Amino acid sequence: MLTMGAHLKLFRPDYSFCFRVMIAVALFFSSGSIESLHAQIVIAQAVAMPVPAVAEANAASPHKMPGFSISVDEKKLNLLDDYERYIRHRMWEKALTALKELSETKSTSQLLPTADGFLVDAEYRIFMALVSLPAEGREAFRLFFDGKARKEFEELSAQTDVLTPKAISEAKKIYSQYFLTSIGDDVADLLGNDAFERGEFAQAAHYWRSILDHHSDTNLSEIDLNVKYALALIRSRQPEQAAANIQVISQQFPDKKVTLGGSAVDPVVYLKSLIAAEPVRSDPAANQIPQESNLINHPVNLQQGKNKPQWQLTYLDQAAVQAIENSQSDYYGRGKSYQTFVPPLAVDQKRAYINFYGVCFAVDLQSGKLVWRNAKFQELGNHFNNYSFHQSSNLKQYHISVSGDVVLATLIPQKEMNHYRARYRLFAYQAATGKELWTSNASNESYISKPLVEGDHIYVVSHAQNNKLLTLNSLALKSGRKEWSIPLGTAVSGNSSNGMEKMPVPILQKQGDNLLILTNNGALFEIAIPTKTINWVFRYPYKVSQGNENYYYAAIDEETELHTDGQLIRDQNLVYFKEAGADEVYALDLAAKRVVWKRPVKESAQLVGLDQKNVYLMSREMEALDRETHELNWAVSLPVAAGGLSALIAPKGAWVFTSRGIFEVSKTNGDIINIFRGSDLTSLGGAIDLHNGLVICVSNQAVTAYSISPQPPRKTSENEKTAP
Amino acid sequence: MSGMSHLIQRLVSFHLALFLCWGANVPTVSAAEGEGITVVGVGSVEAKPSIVELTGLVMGQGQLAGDAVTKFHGNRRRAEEAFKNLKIPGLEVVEEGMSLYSSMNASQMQAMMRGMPVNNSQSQELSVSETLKLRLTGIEKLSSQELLETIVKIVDSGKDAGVVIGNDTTPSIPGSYNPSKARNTMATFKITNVDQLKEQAYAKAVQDAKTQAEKLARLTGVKLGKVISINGEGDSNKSANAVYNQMMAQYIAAGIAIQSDEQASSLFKAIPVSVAVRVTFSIE
Repeated sequence: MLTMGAHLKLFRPDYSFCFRVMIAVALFFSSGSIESLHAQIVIAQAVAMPVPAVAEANAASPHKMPGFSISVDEKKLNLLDDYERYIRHRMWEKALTALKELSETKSTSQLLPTADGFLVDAEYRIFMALVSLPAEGREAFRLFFDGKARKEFEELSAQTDVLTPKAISEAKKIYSQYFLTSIGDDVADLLGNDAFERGEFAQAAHYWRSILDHHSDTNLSEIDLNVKYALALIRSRQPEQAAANIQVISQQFPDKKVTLGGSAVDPVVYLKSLIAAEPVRSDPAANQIPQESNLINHPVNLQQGKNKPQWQLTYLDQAAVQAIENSQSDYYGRGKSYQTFVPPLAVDQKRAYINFYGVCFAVDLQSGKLVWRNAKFQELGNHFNNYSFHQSSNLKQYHISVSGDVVLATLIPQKEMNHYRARYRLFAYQAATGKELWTSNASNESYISKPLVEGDHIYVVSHAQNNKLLTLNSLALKSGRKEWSIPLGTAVSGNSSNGMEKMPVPILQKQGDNLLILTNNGALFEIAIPTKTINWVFRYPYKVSQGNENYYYAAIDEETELHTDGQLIRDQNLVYFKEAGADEVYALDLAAKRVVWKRPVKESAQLVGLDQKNVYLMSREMEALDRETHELNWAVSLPVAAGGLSALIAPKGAWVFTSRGIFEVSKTNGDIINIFRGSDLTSLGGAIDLHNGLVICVSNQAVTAYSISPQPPRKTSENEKTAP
Repeated sequence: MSGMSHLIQRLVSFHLALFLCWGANVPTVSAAEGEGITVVGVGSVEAKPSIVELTGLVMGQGQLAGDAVTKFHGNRRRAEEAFKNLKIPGLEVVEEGMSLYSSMNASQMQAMMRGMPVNNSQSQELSVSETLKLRLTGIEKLSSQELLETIVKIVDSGKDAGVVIGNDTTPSIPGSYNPSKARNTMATFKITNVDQLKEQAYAKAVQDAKTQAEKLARLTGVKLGKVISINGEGDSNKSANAVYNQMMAQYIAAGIAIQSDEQASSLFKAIPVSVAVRVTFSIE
């Protein structure tokens, strides 16, 4: 019925349209050309429009902003509002009663909003409300609770020398309720020591940090606390913050020693040696440099005539070409821009892997030979002609990644391409042979994000069909078995040209123990992997167009033609992100949890790189935004005609694969320094990447590799990325 | 009564139209009633184009006006440098004036044309654009091959520098057919000194008229006298009209005065300059 409805909708007679066409024809002949008609449109729209709705949306509480929906505990939120109102009116007794009730009320949701666009852990939010008490309020707090807190803490200390889980739970309760009392620092130190011993380093850092920040009258040794805090940061793989803390120690406690393991040591030297010894990432799979930074420390030297392709493999089969053309001439594939689709690429030391509408294949990096494929290219054309496929297809849901000996891909299998509302399933293949290792067997789950592998775990976001609740899953790499999952919230989906819902495709990025998830729907999450909890969510307004623009020959937007993706790029504590379908770039300070800046950009622009000076965006032009001032330093129009938006950010220039060859753009002013036409001139251009001394270009029709130097360059590490 | 006057008006218009059609198809030779022999002489001279002209559009668009201006200046500078770096003798970049406007995107335009609500109309980008005329003179000295190579260099260089090249540089509106988009002429070839060429053509036309009149006089056994009246009918060239009309529209849209001493064609071949004269000779 839905299908029939969609068909009928497309051919519904529109008399108003006919009338307008007649007027347009009359105007055309009366004015001589379409240019004058265009000029009239331009003049009519020259008046600026106010944007009150946007201003209102920006001022809304984070859980009420348009876009991704996250439930909060309204009862707790009201109590928190009461507490903060009493504080403003210096009504201490009422405030502290509200605070007590707040601490004792059982939460129905894990998160509570803050005033600056974040949703944070409810306990942490209440804790922050507590520590924000002014001096007078703190005095009142101690007057009310010091005795009771001391008594409870003494009882706890007397129970046993060994901290049982029950005792820890009691200690946490005392910490959250009575941190501002005279025993607050002691209980925080106790919990910090316990968390550190259990390997929960981030938690330990949190407890010690809370003493340093909010308990200025502590009788604990400040240098010891600082050293313990720095140790916890190092162990929780947060080297940038640890380095900042070491600097504080060296400035505030010069030449002072601490006793560690029974011997006195210089804390600065000791901690620095730990940072050097601690690998940024503990396992080889995670040692892959995040591709999104795209920063290379080696000049790329491509010259026409000198750099012949090392190999080229064309995968756009004639049957697929015909099927894509058919999907345009009928209305099945309208609005999907299949012609400009550039398939995703993953590369390891030996092979390049590509996922072309579910046909996954591996190419030998040295010879360019096809090593394996999971299906035949020729058969893709037949399945491509199914209307059901076009209903279900979301080109952004095709992903491929490689980790060790396993290739992971999300796809609709060919045999299911004619299923109504087919799911995107997760497949694992052996990297060397293409042998299928396992398939996700969850009955109703569709995988939407690119699988992120670390160690033996896969992190991937999915949703159940007919349900917009996004779930973060941790799967075992070997078997695909689900280890745990966290519900994130409900996405607001748009409509595809086939009348089906169009789900956002989240982006995952892991650093240390924390996982960042950009929903592409108005929310950025930080998840603590060890505790499997949401640390915080940053919300911002995200408008999903649900208007009916999916008529028969609707214009295809630039962002659809270029398959613009959302992207986040992290540099130390700063994360830059822009979501797909959004028209703003954000710079967010993760440590301070605040927006450093945000600014409007084209909806079709995608973040493609970062260096010391600029944030780079690609659409049909390359733009360089100043990281400090967020002003546009320069922009250059480029003949970009397809998806796979990307750039290699070399020391002097940025390299972009366009429909007219590979362009080297000056990082100083955007001038075109060099054009390497290459060997894929009939393509529309696409993605560019650098691996093992090969510049790999993936277009809408072929993958081509150019050897650039006898010595394989390498991507910079994150430390090098920020070096002057 | 008004219906009757309406009918009369229509009849008058119909007859006037018939008369004009007839006038357009009259034989080139006619005898005026008792006053002499009237003939229409046609003269044509051909000249090889000496100029090739390409149109380029440089643009900067942005949500922020400052972005649009930064982009425009960058693109404009790069375009100028790109053409300059070609070092092609005789290549001149003529500025056609900058314009600043806020425009809808294709989707919004189409929605408006269909009478549908225009979404996100408040988020229209600001555009700064300038049309550049790329004029290459002295092409009559080049062979077709040399000229083609030169034009391709200019087109490639412009495209690489982000310039929209073609005689129709306006954005296309989906769902509407635009013939100049369907076949967007890249280069227009022009001859100069059209006035001089017309003089030569007139001389030929008058000679042609005289030859015709003499032939008629001989056939009818009368003697041809002096010229009683002469009426220049102007340019009879039809071959370049398509291009000419298109350019007219663009010139008018751009508010630019037409350079009357030039004549254009989309083909690189000798361009005919034709004129017709109506001459009446007396009969002695």
